[in-house]
Amino acid sequence: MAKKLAFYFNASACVGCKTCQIACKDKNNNPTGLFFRRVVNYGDGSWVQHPVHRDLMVPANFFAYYISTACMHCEEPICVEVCPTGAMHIQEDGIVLVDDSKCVGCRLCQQSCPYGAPQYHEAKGVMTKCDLCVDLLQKDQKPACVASCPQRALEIGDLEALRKDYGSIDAIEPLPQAKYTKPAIVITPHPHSQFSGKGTGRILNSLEV
Amino acid sequence: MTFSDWPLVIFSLLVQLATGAFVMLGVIRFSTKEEEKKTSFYRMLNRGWIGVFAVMVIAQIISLTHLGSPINAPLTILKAGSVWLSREVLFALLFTILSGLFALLRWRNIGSKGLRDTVFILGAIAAIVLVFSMSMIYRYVETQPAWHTPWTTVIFFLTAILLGSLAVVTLLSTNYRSASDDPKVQAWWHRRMLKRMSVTALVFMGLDVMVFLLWALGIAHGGAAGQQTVQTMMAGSTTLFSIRIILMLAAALFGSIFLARVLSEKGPERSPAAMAYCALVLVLVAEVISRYFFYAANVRIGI
Repeated sequence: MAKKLAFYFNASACVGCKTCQIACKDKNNNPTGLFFRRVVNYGDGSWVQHPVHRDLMVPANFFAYYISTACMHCEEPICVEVCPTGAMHIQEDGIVLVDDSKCVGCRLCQQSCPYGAPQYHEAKGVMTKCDLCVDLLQKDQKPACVASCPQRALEIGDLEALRKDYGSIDAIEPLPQAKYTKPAIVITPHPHSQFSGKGTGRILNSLEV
Repeated sequence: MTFSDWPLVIFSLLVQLATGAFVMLGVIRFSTKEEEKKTSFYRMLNRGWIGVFAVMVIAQIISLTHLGSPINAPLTILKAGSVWLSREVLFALLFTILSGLFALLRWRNIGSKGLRDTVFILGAIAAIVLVFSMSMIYRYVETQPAWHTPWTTVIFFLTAILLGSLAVVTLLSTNYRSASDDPKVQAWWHRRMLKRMSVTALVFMGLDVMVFLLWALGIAHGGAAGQQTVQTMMAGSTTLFSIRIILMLAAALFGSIFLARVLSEKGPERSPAAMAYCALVLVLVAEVISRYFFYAANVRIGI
């Protein structure tokens, strides 16, 4: 079986510094507002009155963690399924790519992807997305996000090998359940992570992502 | 709902108007007797057929403005075997060609009746598949709960029949001239068709309001994702939601007055065109608001 490339993300190691996000943006020379990789802050909690010391407010059920997301290079990519021109396609090694020369810029892939991975490039008039830094991979280098992570929370490798090493968790909140597109991702959850579809929190930096 | 969605709102409504009108004009065509076809009034329907073609051309030009690279637009039919958007584009083109061809055959009186019937039936099939494909683009994606429901198809077909029948009522009421025909034949045909079309429009106005509410209720009961959808959809728009229903009721009132006036006429008098115009404009505005809510309801599961 051909190797299927995938990301590994360690949520318990990520501190939300967003170096990966900036390294990706820099490498791809993306304009303002266009991020192939985004760091999402998920959590919840509130303040309640102390039962004895009535003038004190104490935190209740606080939790928060970060999740660094990019294109999941899904095994059943919905972006490929809905693309009317075949511009969005999946390679044998599992990398999902956009062919600029075919893309009509209808944005249906952007609308359909539950990870918000394909993004519209206003100046080019076509869709753009994470290509796993395929040019760097060809030179035996790591993708910009993986290489830049100071926590070593990101890795890239063969999906099966990553699953063997780190388990098979592929969906924690706020990511959608894996059943929709079968994302090629392996995650080590944060101690507070909630499984997708069973979340009680919310995205805390929704305006940013 | 973003600015880039507006061309799609207009495109979808125009296509539904054109396909609905095409089928409704066909209903009139097939239910008209041979002697009635000699009236100048019946010939006025030609304007309707040409209008359908013109609306389709305009709709497709508007849809191009939504694209980032319209130069690649011809490639969008390549995936018609598997992708609903490709099918929509393909059938929109087919319907435009067939409706244009039919309008030409009718207008210049070219070809036999059999040929014209064949072109019409092919056009009507293309119209139905077009509206269905259009609804399936939205229904297809599982992570968009507001769209991933059979209501999407129901809403699109209801809108097509409603806009189509109202457009035909307007056409028939505004183009009235007694001409030199047998006034009795003409008046009888005119009244019969106006009655039929305005009753259809009124019934579909009622269904439209009902289905719109059922769709919104369905989303609200769709768990956490559904509630978030309703919140986003209704953000600052509760008044607009009510306005949409009031507009439709007002249109129904104008439509009812129109129908009552038509029924009470005995001779070939002028029909109350202003009422039909008002009803059409009100329904069009209500449908634009409805489509706004439809797009605003696009809350995706995930990020």
